[in-house]
Formats: sequence, C-alpha cells, structure tokens
Amino acid sequence: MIELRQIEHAFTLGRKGNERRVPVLRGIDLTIRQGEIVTLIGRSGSGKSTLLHIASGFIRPTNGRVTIAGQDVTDYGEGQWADFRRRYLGFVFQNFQLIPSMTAFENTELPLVLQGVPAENRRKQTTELLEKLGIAAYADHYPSELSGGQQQRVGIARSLILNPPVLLADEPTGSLDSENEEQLLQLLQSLNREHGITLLIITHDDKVASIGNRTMRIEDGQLVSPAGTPNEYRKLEVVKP
Amino acid sequence: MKTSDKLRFVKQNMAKNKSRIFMTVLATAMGCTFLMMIASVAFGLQRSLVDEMMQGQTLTEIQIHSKMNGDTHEAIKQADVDRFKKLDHVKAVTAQRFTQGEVTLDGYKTSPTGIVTNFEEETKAGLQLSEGRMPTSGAEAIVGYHFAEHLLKDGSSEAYPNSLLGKQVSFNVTGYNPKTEKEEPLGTVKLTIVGLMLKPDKEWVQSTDLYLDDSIQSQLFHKGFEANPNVKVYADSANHVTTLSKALRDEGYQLYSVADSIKEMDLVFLIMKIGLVFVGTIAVLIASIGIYNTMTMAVTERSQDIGIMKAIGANPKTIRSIFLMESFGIGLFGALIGLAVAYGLSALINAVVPPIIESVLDGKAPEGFTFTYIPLSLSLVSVGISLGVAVLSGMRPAARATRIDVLRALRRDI
Repeated sequence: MIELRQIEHAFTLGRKGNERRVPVLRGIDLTIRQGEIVTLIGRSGSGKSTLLHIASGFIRPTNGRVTIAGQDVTDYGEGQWADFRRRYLGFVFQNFQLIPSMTAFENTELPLVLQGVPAENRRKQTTELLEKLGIAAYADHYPSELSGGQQQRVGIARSLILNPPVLLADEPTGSLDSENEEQLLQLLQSLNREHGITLLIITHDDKVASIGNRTMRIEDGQLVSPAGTPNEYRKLEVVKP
Repeated sequence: MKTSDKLRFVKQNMAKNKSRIFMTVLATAMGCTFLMMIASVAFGLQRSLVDEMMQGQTLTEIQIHSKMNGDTHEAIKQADVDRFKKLDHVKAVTAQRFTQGEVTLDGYKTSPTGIVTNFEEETKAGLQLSEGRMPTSGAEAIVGYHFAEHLLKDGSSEAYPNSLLGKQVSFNVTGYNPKTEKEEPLGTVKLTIVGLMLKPDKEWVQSTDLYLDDSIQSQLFHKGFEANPNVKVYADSANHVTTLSKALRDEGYQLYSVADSIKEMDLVFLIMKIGLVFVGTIAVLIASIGIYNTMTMAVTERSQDIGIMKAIGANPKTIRSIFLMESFGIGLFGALIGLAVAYGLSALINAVVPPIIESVLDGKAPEGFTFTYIPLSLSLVSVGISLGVAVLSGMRPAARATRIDVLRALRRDI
C-alpha cells in the first residue's frame, strides 16, 4: 500500500550565503502492506515525523520515490496532492488540529465539503459517523468545549469521513490521558480489523507502538528493524491481522 | 467544492471581523462614490449643453446656409430646394421665407414676422402644434404660442383675451420693392387661424410668429423680389446625418447640423470623462490598499485553518477562490453602497445648488441645467472598476494563502 524507496532528506538551515545542509533521512526503505499497522518509533529528532510528512506529501524528499496505492506520488504538485489526500489518506494529529470556529459536526464534514458532496448527503454521513464514534451528542460543540479525548475522536471522524484506505497518525495519543489513550488505541485497532484500514503510526510511546503488526525504529535517519527484541514488548498486546 | 459552500465560508469569515470588514467596505464605498461624483459633473455638463443645442432642433436637422461658387456665397434657390428633396435619406426639406406686416383683429394689432413655408414638408419634418391643425390652403395660417399676448388693443397694453382658433385676421403685408428699392405696403391678406404652435421649452423665448402657406407667395412679396429661404434638410434617421452632410458639403453647400456639433463635442467630453474617471479611480485605488490590508490580515489570522484545510485535501485553487470571493464581496458591497450614495448625492446637488446660486450669488441658475448626471454607463463602469480593483487587491493575499506551508501552519516542529 505504501512504498518508500531510498528516501533521503536534508534540511537547509542558516542564513543565505551561510547555509548548511542537515541530513535527516538517509536511504529509508519501507513497505507497508494493505491492512497492516506499522508503528514507527524513535527519539526526538530521529526523523520519524519527517518520514511521515514525506508520506503525507507535506515535504518532498531530497531523493527517493514514494508510492501509495500503486501511484508514484513523489513528483505530485500541490493540487494533485490535495486530490490524492482526499481519496486515499486520513490524518490523525497529536494536537487534533480542529478548526476552532467550527463545531464538531462542521469539522467532521469538512472533507465532504471540499469533495463537493451535496449538503443532504453530508448531513447523513456525518451524523452516522459521529454516532458510530460515540460523539453525536457533541456535534454542535466547538472544539474548546470538548475534552481532549472527544476532540481526538472528532479528528478521527474527520479523517475517516471519506473512507480513506490509509490512515497516517502522528503521535495520536500525545495529548491524551491514559484512559483516553486506551480507548483511542482500541478504536484504531477496530478500524484496522473491521475496515482493513492501513495504519502508519509515529510515536515514542511503547504502548502505542505495541498495536503495530510491525514496529520499526528509526535512528539517525535510518530504519533499524526490528525495533527491538520481542521481550521489550512482551508486556504489550500486539494485534496481528 | 461547491460555490454555495464557498459562499458560506466567505460569509462566515466576513462575519468574524465585522468591524474591520465594515471599515474596508466603507473605504471602498467612498472611493466608488468619489469616482462617480467627479465623473457625473462631466456627464451633467455634457447633458446640459446637448439639451441647450437641441433646443428647438432635432438630431436629423441640417441647416443649409448658402452655396459656394468659387469664393463667393450664393443664396439657396428654389431649384436647390427641389434637388434636396430628391437626395437619398432625405425625409423632408423646409424652406422658410420671411415677410413683415401688421395683423389686425377686432381692434387688436400686432406686427409679427411672417414665415412663409410649405406645411406638408413641415409636417413631415415633425412640426407639432399645441392646438388646432395644419393649414390646408393659403387662406389659413397658424400662429406662435404667445401670439395672442402680443395682439394688443390699439393704444393700450390690453392683450386679445379670446382663443384665436377659427378667427379671421387681416395681414397687411409690407415688403421690399425692388423697383423703388424701398419697403412698401403690398396689400391685405385675409387669414383664418387654424393652429397654435407648441409652447417653447425656454420660458424666456416668445413665440409670436405668423406662419403662412407658400401657395400665396405672390401676395406676400413684391414682384421681382426673391426672398432668400432659410432651408433645413431633415434626414430619415440620425445615422444618415453624417452621410447626408458630407454629400451636401461635397456639392459646395455651407451647412450646419446639431448632430455634427454634438459629435465634435462628444469627443471633447469623452476625453474629459476618461480623465475624470482616471482621477476618480485613484480614490478607488487608495481604498484598495485597505482591501489588501484586510485580506492580508485575514490570511495571517486564518493561516492555521488554511493549513488544516490543505492537510485534509483542500485544493490551492479552492483556497484562492475563497479569498478572491471575499475581496470581491468587499468590492461589491462597497460599490453598491457607493452607487446608492452617489445617486442620492447627485439628486441632492441638483436640487440644492440652484437655490443656493440664486440666494448666495444673487443670480439665477441656468434653466434646466444639470449639475451632475449619472447615466447607467457610468454606474456600470464605476462598479466594474471597484470590483476589478477589489479582486486585484485580493489576488496577492489569496496567492499567499495558497502558499501557506502546512507544517508551519500546524505549528509542528520538523
């Protein structure tokens, strides 16, 4: 489903005329099969978020190719990426990234609005999804009126509303307490089980990492696989597809 | 994304900053009003001058003064008049000759100018009466609107009190006798008044002439005297006036037509109007700085929203169109308000300025003078300029919105 081939990336830092290039990713090869949950762990600055952003199209890699759902998206322009994201990708952010001036309902239906879906269909689909995720009662609430867990559920509802085959999650439990974290992980696992959604999750939380069919560690811009000895994760529940 | 959803976004966004949007719309409205008012003065002036030129004349009228024969001017002869009637696009040709004399009726007298003409041609040319009908024979005549007021009782200032229609008057003709080379009485003609001319447009114009049929010319002029006619050729439409004028000029006729004059005047006013619209546009351009500023602030304030929308699949074109629609909206509201204010101001100026002139300057404003006039074309041009400038002002901020970096907008470290 997702193929990252020889991905290299370097950031250019410093003032003009005095720039220096800082390599972040050094030849990453990663293949994620359809319906697989892959978790990516690593220390801060290891390059894990950069890799996710490359897979999301937010950053273009310095070198290497990105193929998602059989399409080589490496050289896509902004417009092509926008259309591609709506069709194939859902995003779960650490800070939820809800639009503060929109209600939970409006935030959830936003991708449908961008897709040009008629209002009546939007209302039906959004209501169904909010009910399914147990947050229909908060449809008219603004993000500031919701708890962290509720906001993250709205964020997930928004990411799922167009039924994407791939979900990219960046520290999805980073802003949640342990109870909400547990609920969220169960939700992600059930989505994977019931809908076959492919998940790539970036985390530094071992518990989150444990839900992956595979857990990859990234160190100094290179993948170290497997992430560690099985004993390191033996206490964690690992769900196999 | 559907246009209705974009409009909903624009409406929501504008509602978030009502006061800022209001001030920007106000600035645009002021710019638009200034543009319209400054140009409306030129339109008003042109309208007044054209009305003045058109007084008692029509656009299809061509006055023929003389014919050039080498370096000398020759009077227009009856043969020329007959020739004019045969030209293409000619609707009518009137040839008025002037005579003098005294009209008497029941002890009342006046000395009008007698205008001898062909009423059939005058009717074709568009001559209209306020009362009565056109003469059908030489024994009938029509009189000017104020004729009765000048028909005074002998030795007093008492005017004829009754209607003149159907009354028979005596016209004691006096004319130039070429034999004696003196003004001499010619005889008396009995005439029945059958029509009354239209009231002149201007209050100060007095219509006191006596109109006679040219079939009795021999009774109105001394033998051997050929009165020079005042000839007017009427084209069948205003579009043919230029062609007809050119054909007549090519044949050596000296002529004048209102249409030609208006065309020359239009060119001068067109240049003037373009200049004033240009000056007015500067006001709109100043207002556009406000629109640019407002839109730039909107983009900055909403950069996180834009980043989120881009992250979940908003096309840059969609983002750009939303911001362009917002600046278009500001321009539209501003233009419509400006339009309404300009029309109101124009009406106010036209109503208030004449009394001010009369009271302050101790004079009288020209009758029927239009100080400002806003034709539909000026409204459309002004609204078009305001909208165009508004959209241009929004283009750079809109383009900036499309270039917002998703990661930076989401405030994520990479």
